[in-house]
Amino acid sequence: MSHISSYYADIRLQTALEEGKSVEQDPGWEILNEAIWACAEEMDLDVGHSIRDYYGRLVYCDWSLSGPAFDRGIGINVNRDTGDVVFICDSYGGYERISGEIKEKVIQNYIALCVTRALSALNYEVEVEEVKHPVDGKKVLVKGVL
Amino acid sequence: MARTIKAEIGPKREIKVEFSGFPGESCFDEADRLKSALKELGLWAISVTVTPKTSSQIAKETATDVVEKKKVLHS
Repeated sequence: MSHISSYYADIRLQTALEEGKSVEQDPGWEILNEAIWACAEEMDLDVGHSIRDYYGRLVYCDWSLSGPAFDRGIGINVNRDTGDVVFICDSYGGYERISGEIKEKVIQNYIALCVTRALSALNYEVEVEEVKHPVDGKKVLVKGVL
Repeated sequence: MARTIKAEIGPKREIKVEFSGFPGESCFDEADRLKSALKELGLWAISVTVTPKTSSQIAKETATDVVEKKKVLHS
């Protein structure tokens, strides 16, 4: 028999923490880094380590994404105790849409990278395709054949 | 028939995964293996729905693998 499953994805970098290592040593750390850089390239943003709030105050974070049209930026932090991935942004003043869009893209990239790597680890031959839909947005299709 | 996993990743954290060509109930075991592999990478896939394929869907998939045989004349 075969079936179709649907899932909701949550990101928590806990593998290294469970082994008593730091979260920076988690396999997900490098994947998150890759997902952030891919988003930066796709949306023409800069990767850094700080954002600014409404008052212009600097807030440091593990990664930040900002650009000319979004100089305040969105930050990404990984909780060192729980491995939870948190997005931070002072979106007051009309930045809700752009910050939400960046967050969605980073998460989607992260999921696509994880699925690709997981299928490869299970010895599947993997192909990846991106499909852009005018209403539903970008979808990433990952196919694994054993 | 080749065993295939097709994942469709949407922009709102949703993942639709289609398992094809797995004999018996082994697709569910493979789904568990995939979930474990994802969890190690920091991705927690929380099941929302599981829909077994209908017999007609499975028959359709199997039919695509049938290779047409050509008649060959033997002299």
